[in-house]
Formats: sequence, structure tokens, C-alpha cells
Amino acid sequence: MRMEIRFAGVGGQGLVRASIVLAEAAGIQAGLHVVQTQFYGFETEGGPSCGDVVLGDAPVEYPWVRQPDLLVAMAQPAVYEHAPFMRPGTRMLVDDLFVTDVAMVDRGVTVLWAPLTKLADQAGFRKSANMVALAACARLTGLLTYDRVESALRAAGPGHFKVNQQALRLGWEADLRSHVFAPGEKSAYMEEGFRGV
Amino acid sequence: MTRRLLMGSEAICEGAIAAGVRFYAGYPITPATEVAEFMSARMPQVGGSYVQMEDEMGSFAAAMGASCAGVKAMTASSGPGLALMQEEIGHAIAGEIPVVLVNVGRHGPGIGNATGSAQMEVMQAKYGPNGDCPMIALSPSTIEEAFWLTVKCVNLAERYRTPTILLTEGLLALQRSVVDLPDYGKVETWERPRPEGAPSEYANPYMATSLTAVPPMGDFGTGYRSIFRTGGIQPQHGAKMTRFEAQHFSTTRLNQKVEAHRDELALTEALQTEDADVLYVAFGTQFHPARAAMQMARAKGIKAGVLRLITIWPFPDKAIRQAAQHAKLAVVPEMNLGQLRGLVTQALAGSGIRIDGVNHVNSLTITPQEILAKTEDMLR
Repeated sequence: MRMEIRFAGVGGQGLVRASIVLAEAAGIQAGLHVVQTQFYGFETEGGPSCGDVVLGDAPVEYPWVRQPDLLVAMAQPAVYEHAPFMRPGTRMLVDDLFVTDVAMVDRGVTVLWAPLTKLADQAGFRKSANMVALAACARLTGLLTYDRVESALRAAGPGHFKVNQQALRLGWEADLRSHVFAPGEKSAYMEEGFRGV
Repeated sequence: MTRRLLMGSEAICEGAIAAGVRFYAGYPITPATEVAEFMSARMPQVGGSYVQMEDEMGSFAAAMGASCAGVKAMTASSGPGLALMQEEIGHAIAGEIPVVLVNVGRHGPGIGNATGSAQMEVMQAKYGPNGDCPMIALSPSTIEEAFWLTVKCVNLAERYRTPTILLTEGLLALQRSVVDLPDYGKVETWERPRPEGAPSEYANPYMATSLTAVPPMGDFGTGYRSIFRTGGIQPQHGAKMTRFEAQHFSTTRLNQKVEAHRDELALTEALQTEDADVLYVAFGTQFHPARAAMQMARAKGIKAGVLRLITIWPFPDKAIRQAAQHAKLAVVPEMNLGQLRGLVTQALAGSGIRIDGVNHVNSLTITPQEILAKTEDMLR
């Protein structure tokens, strides 16, 4: 088993941090083989940014994420950049505030909409949207329990722990609305009224 | 033992601390900045010093100064910084000052692509400074090994009184994985030779009577005559010699003190090379695709083996000849345009073995499929 997970968005959204906590949950708490890497540009905030995790039940030979099995898109440019590499049968978790167009996702990729940023607002701290995304994503892997993810968050340090924990809980329980795009099918899902919900 | 999710850079810092490094001077550069970041946090915790310097030359020079005071010292940089440090590296070699340099490889030449990983300093590590220089350079393949090879780099720098380089890559240094850290008290550490007699009987830190000798080095402030340090060759010998003889002796000794231990320094790991018709020679992160390619080739009935170079300098040419005993061809996958391949070709000169490479300068790890395709292409 090899699972490639990518948190993609713009610098400042905490995507690398989300990938580190996921790697901690999988590698230390769940005992899986794990490699975490990241990509970011020269910009500190606002540029393209990714936090990547490869999970496996055997040592990870190839550390890079090539074609994510699970993409978490926290901003619109992330969809444009990474959707073309998604294979049929994989999943994309998108933030319903900052992603408004998934028209290009048309090859049997399941798009799961979640109010990631809005739930973070509900927790009282927008920057904790990465923890909402992390929890929703961790649940989607089917390999982790909530407790393991929370333990990993605890290990990451005490900063903003309470609000992050709240965000984690909201993310874990988030209601994900899905739609599988048939080959060739375009943005019908969008037109049904999910744009900028 | 502690199990932790560690970044490669963090494992390097922890290895340095376990080996006794208590001084770090550095200047930030992608992708080596994380080493400085971790050290800035860790050095004060272990009673050491961290200095943010004005540039790379200053960083290496500060590390040399600390080392002269008797403290195990380290600095880190990447390709462009390594280029700037060459003067100081040569100085440390000639002055026989132990310093550990971590080079986190990135794409070049010039500024290149700062965030792109590469293995482009194979030759620079050894041939960067002017003059005939010895070099000890080790290259880890995993994060756990990065810890242990940093320990080794520190130990070797001390034992042989010469700068050592941990030759790693952005890909490894910026990646996180699960690592089992040992109890630091149980990590074997080596010390530099220090003078034992009375200070009045100590002439200077360069007095040697054999070509493989590593003379004792007194710490600054301990009364031994060790204040005078220069990058100039110190023509010192116990016996009477002309200046020319002494110069020859000293230059030869700088190299021989390392060269004489080539066999124990040149570390490699051989996988199924005993019957290998096809030999893959790889180092650092590119060992992993080479091993996977070996398994894929074996499944197809091609007898492939891998020789992983742990030591890059002194170059393990004996091990390469040994591993290639039955080989008809050799493939060298590396993240540059063929620096290691050139050295392998030199090591296998006259053997009739066909040698080719799989080379990436796009910062994407080489895939096992590419190595296998090259193999099948050559076998055709």
C-alpha cells in the first residue's frame, strides 16, 4: 500500500504544518512508514505552497508525491496546478470558500467539498483551517483515528493548542459533499449552486 | 532510544550534538538554512554557542577559530556557499584544523534553483580548494544515516585534524521521516590528539616525524604554543631537513595522514554484487531507485547488483573494482551530469566494462524504471 497525499494552496495557509502533523500521526502514532516533504517558492506568503506526505505499509522508496491519491486544495490556484495530475479513482478535498472552479476536474476524480475555512472561522481562528483540513483528510485515509491525530497535534507543540484542537474536531466531523465527475463531464456540479457556498 | 519524526537537517544537528559539537557558525542559504535554524535552538540548550555570521567565509572561519579553542565546530551551506568557503577549507586543511562542513546540495551552477535538490558537489568537495588536498566526504542515504554519518564526520575531523564534509542533498535534508535516536551518552566519540607533556616541551601543532602522523594540537589558552596558525604549509619535522625537503614532507603528510587510512575510510554497501552482470553505483538519495531497479532487473532475470557509496572521498575505487568483478556493464544514476560516472570510469579503467549514466538535473528523483530502461538498452 502506498498513498500519496498533498496539501496544496498558498503560502501562509499552514499546509506544510498540516503535512507534518499528518506524518507524525501516521509515522509515530500509527506506526506506518512515512515520508513528508514540502514545496514552496521564494515567497513567504501568497505563493504556491505544498505539504506532501507519502504513507505506506513498507518503507517508502520514492519520497515524492507524483500523482496524489488525495489532494487537499485550499485555494483556487492549487486546483489549476495539481488537478491535471490526478488519476481517475482518486479524491480531491476542496475548500468551498477559496475554491470556486473545479471545471477542469473531469476524469473520474471524486471532488469532496468542505467548508474548511468556514469551520476554522467557527473555531475562532481562520489560520486553523489547516487543522480542519488535516482532520478531514486524515479521516478520508481510513488509516487513522481521531485520537492519533490529536496526539500528533499535541506533539507539535503547545502554540494555539485549544483552537487547533477545536478545529481538528470540527474537521473530523465535517460533512463532506461529494460528486464524482464522469469522463468528459464539466462543471455541472458547480452550476448546481455550490459555487462559493 | 527515542522515536521521533525528524527532518533530515534536524537529524544532522542531533548527530553533531551527540558527537560533541558545541559551536555552530552559519549563514542562511536554501536548502541548508534549516540546519542553522535547528542549531540556533539546540546549541544554547546543550551549553554550546551559535553565531549568525555575515557570510559563508566568516562562518567557516568562525568555526575554525572555535576549533582552535578546542571546541568541536560545525557549519553548513549549499553549493554557492561551498564555492565561497573554498579558501577557508584549504586553510583548515593546511592548518590542520578540524571542522565539519555540511553541504546540502542544490541545483547549480550559480544561483541555480535554490529549492531544487541536486548532487552537484561531488568533485567540488575534493577539488574545490587550491593545492593538493586530502578530503573526507560522506553521503547519507536515509535520515537515520544522516545522524550517524554526521557523528562519523565529527569523529574523523577530530582524529585526522582535517575538515570533513557531510555531502547531502536538499531532498534528504528537507524531508521528514521516523528515526530512532540513540542515547547520546552511548554514542562513540573521538577526540583530536592533544599534547600530553609539559607546555615547555611542546614546539608547535605541526611537529611530525612520520608521513602518516597527526601531531597533537593544543587548545588556545592552555599554555601550549598553538597560537600561531596559518594557512601556509608548516615545514616541520623532528629531524634536520632542508626547507625544500620539509615542504615536500609536510605537503605529502597532509595527504598521507588521510590516504594511509583509505581502506577503513572508504565505506560502501554492496547488494547482490557477487554474481552481478550489471552493476549500479549510486550514493545519497539515488541509492533507493538503484536498489528498486536491481530488484526489478532480478525479477526479469537480469543479474543486477548495487554498490552504494557511503564515502565519496577518499573515493572507494577498490570496492568498485571488487563489486564489478563479473560485471559487463555499469550504470551510474546521479543527480548531476556525470560527476560520479567519471570517477567510476576511472576506477574501472582497462576492465572493458561499459559504463553509462542516468542523469537528472531537473531535481526530480531518478525512477527505477529509467535505470532499468537504460540497462535493457545497453544489454540489447
